[in-house]
Amino acid sequence: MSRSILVIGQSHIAAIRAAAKTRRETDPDRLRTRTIHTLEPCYAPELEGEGDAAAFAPPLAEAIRDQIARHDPLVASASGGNVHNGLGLVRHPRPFDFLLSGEQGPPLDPQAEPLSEALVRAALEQGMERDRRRLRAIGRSAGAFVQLESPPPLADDVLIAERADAYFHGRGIAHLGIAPRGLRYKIWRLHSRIVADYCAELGARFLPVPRETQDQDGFLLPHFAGDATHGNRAYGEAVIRALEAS
Amino acid sequence: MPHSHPYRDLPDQAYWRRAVMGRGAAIDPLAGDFLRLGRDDKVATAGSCFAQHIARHLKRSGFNFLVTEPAHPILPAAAAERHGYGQFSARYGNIYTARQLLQLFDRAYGAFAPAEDIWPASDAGRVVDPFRPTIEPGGFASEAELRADRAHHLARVRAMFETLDIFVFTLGLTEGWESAVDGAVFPLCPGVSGGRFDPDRHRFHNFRTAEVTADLTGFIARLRGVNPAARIILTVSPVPLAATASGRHVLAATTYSKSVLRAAAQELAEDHEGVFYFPSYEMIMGAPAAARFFAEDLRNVTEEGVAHVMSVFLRHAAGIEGPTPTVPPAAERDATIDAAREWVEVMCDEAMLDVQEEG
Repeated sequence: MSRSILVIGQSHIAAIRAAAKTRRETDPDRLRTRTIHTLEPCYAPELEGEGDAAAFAPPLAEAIRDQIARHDPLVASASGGNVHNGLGLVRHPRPFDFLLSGEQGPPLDPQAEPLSEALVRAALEQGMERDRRRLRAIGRSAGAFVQLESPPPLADDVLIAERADAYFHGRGIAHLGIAPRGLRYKIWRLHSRIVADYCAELGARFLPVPRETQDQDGFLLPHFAGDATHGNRAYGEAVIRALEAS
Repeated sequence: MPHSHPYRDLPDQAYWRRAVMGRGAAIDPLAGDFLRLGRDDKVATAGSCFAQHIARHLKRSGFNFLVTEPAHPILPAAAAERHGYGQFSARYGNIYTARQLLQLFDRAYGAFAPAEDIWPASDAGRVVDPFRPTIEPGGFASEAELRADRAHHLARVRAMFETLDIFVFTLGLTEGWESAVDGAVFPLCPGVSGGRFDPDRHRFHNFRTAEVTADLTGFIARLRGVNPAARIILTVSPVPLAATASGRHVLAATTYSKSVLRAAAQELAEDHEGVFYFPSYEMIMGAPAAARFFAEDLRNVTEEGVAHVMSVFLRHAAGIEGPTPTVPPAAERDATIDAAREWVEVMCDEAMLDVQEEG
């Protein structure tokens, strides 16, 4: 690919930043991958306006336009991608589960309260409202863009417990426990479907997780994990390659 | 000297001139013994649309409205409401006929397994629960999803029957549609909201007084079998039929239907200890109201009408005078949702501490 890359987002751009830094240090002449974190203090407030009329505040919109004017990059978004973890990483005190439609997903947990996929979707969509507005704002500021699927969950409960940050410990992950892996996977998949629907509305392209970062069941391979919920440098490198190949 | 006779010394309530004339629309037609409702009594509701009003007012009045199938706390309130949570004590939707109630009990306890228990939704690939056809807007995504939801629902129905203190059932209709195979009664005609109408498999049934009485007698026996102390309040919905399949004019069909239900409710209250009739029907439908408590369509009951019914109910059942007291609903927040919202922001901030980018 003969274009540089600009990735706009929040926490999930850390993996891409790390990979981009390594690339820059090992091969300075290579086309650059740059990132913009929309929550950096210099861009506050991130969004202005309500609902679908919301747009990035002028400093952030200008930063994006400046990058595009200077480098004509392929614009990608790693925006959002956390709501499924907020909802489905720590076991809920009233355990719930659901079935994924249209694919042979994990079976229902017989100990959990079954919810319909439509209801879990409603819960996710409520939490993703800001993410939806961000995508719309990216489209407004950048034009065509590619949305990156958020990293899949880890399969290993022990690994998650080890890598869970202080925040999850504060939420009682030690005594509530980690949500069953089947639920983690299904919530991630449903979250991705919702984001893909947003992209379809906006005319953006949705880029799935690089297959080489997943195990045979679709979970994130441990050596691509940064912490319990994010990818690491190797993951970021795999994503950049996928963007280059897209 | 006038002769003595049984009408000479009756209380005022027995005389139309004294009890009705000049009393206006907001009449109190309840006389005689009625149930006493304590703040701790767990009250469950079921029935037609009008029963939803009773549930809503009981909640607002600070009584112990029993909900054994509450919405999961992660669900947005609007989505939960669309999916039938909070309308009644469990998520069974409207139960219009006595036969439906009896069959709900039997399905919950495994005594009846209808042959026709899945309907196709109008959206291809989705399916509808024939016994709760509007509970999942658009239908369930798969048969497996429906069956899992139904199993959970029926478990919560059992919990309701076994733990309630008072069961309020509003009789709504005598007209229904049933399976020609096993008599399973559907709340809506197949084809209206899911399913496909088939004259060979579906038949119209306009229940008679004896059938309603027998069905509710059976229900009372079953309920007392799992909950011997359960008390029951029967009401008749004043909401007329939206449509009739009886071949009669809808007004005449409504009169028949409500007459049957009213007569059955009376007989049941007279025949069973702990079963009471509450005359909400009379308050809304009676001549004193002169249709004042109906909306413009002369079908839906206004909030004023419901408030009047509930004020009479609470006067007799709980000794509360005046308008229905309002207890503000407690804000229901889910720690997971709150924490998730907070975490998304925290994570976004923390990630900025990671690798710094070139300019």
